[in-house]
Amino acid sequence: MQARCPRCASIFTTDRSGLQFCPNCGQQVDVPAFPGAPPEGSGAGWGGPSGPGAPGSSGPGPALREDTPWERRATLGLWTGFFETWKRAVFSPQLFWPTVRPDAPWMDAVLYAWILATVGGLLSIPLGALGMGSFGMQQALDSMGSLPPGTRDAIRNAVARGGVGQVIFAIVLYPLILIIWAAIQHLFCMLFGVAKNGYFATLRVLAYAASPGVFSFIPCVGHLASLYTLVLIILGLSSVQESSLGRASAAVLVPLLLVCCCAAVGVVLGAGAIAAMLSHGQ
Amino acid sequence: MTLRWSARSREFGFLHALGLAGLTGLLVARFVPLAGLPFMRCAIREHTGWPCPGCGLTRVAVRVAHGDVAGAFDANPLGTVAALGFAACTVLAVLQMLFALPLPLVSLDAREARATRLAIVSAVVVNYAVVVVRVRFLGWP
Repeated sequence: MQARCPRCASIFTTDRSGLQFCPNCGQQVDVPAFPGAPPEGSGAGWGGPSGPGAPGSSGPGPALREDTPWERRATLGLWTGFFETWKRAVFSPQLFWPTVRPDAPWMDAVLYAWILATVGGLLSIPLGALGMGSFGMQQALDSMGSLPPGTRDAIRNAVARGGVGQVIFAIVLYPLILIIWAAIQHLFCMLFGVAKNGYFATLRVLAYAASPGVFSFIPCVGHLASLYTLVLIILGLSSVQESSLGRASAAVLVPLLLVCCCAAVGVVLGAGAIAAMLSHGQ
Repeated sequence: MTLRWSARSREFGFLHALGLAGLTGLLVARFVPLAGLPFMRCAIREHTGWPCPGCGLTRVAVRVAHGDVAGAFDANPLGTVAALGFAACTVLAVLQMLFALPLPLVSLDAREARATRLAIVSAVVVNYAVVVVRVRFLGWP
C-alpha cells in the first residue's frame, strides 16, 4: 500500500500498517490499516487499470486526497501553506496532483491563483519600466503598418505606463478570467471524457497549475513558464478528473489547435513531450 | 439517457461560468475594436492562404454581438452556433439566478457519450471543410 507523510507530503510504499518512518524525511508516520488495498503493483495505486489507474493516468484515486497546504493555511500558517503548495505544484507535480481533492472549496484555489497573478504583475513593473518588452512592442507597431503621425509614440507611451494597469488588471480581472477559462476548458474536458469530477475540479486544476506564472515577468522564461503551466494542467486534469493522460492532453491541446493553431503547434509539441517525459519518469 | 432536475438553488455552477464567458465575450466583441488589433490576424492564412480551423471566430463574435447573425454564419457556421449557445447560457444563467430555477442534468451512457462526441467532431470537420471551400475556392473574405 501507499502512505503519505504528513510532514513532507512524499508518498511512499509500505507493506504494513502502523508506526513507521518516512523514508524521505524521517518523520514518524502512523499508517492506518487499509483492508481494501490491493497488493502493490496491482493497479489501484499509481497507474492502475481504470479511472485513476487508467493507462497513463497519474493519480492514485481518492484514497490519498486531502486539502492542499494552502487550504490548510489556518493550521499551517499563511506563508507556509502558500509556499508549500507552490513548491509541490511546481517541483513535484506527480506527487502533488494525486493529493488534490476535486471537491474542496474552489474559492481557495482561485484565491491562490489570484495572489500568484498579483505577485507576477507586481514583479513585472520594474522590468516593464526598463523597457524589457520593447522588442515585442516594436514588432506590434511594425505589424500595424502606416499609422497617423504621433500615433506610434502615443501607443509607446501608453504601453510604458501600462505596468500599473497590468497590475490592476491582474488584481481585478484575474478571477473572472480564470473562471471563464475553466468553463471553456471544461467543455473540452467533457468532449474528451475528462470531466468525471465536474467543473470545479477543472477550475481547481487551472488555479493550482498557474503556479509557474509567478515567473511570467521574466523575458523568455515567461514563455517556458507558460509551457510548463500547460504541462501541469495536463497532469492535473488526468489526476484530479481521474482520466488518462492522453485524454487530458487532448482536452488541453485541441482547443489550442482549433482556436490559435498558428502559435499552438510549438506549444503542443513541447507540452506533449514534457508531459510524456514526466509521466514516464514517475 | 437519463434526465434529472437539480434542486432549486442559487449556487454558482458550470452554467453560470459559461454564461459569464458568453457575457464577457459578447461585451468585448461589442465594444472593443477587435478587428483592428494587430495580433488578431491569422498567421497561417496570411502565409499559406489556407484558413485555420478557428478562422472567422473573431468575426463571429463581433457580428453576433452586433446582432448580425447571418453575417456571423457566413464567417463560421459552427462558431455562430457556439456563440449563440454562449449567449443562451448567459440568459439562462441570469434567469436561474433570479428565480432559483431547477436545471436539467442530462447523463449519457457510454454509447450515447461516444455518439455525441462523434457528432461534435463530425460537425467540426464539416464546418472546417465549409470554411476552406468558401475561402480557398469561392474567394470569400
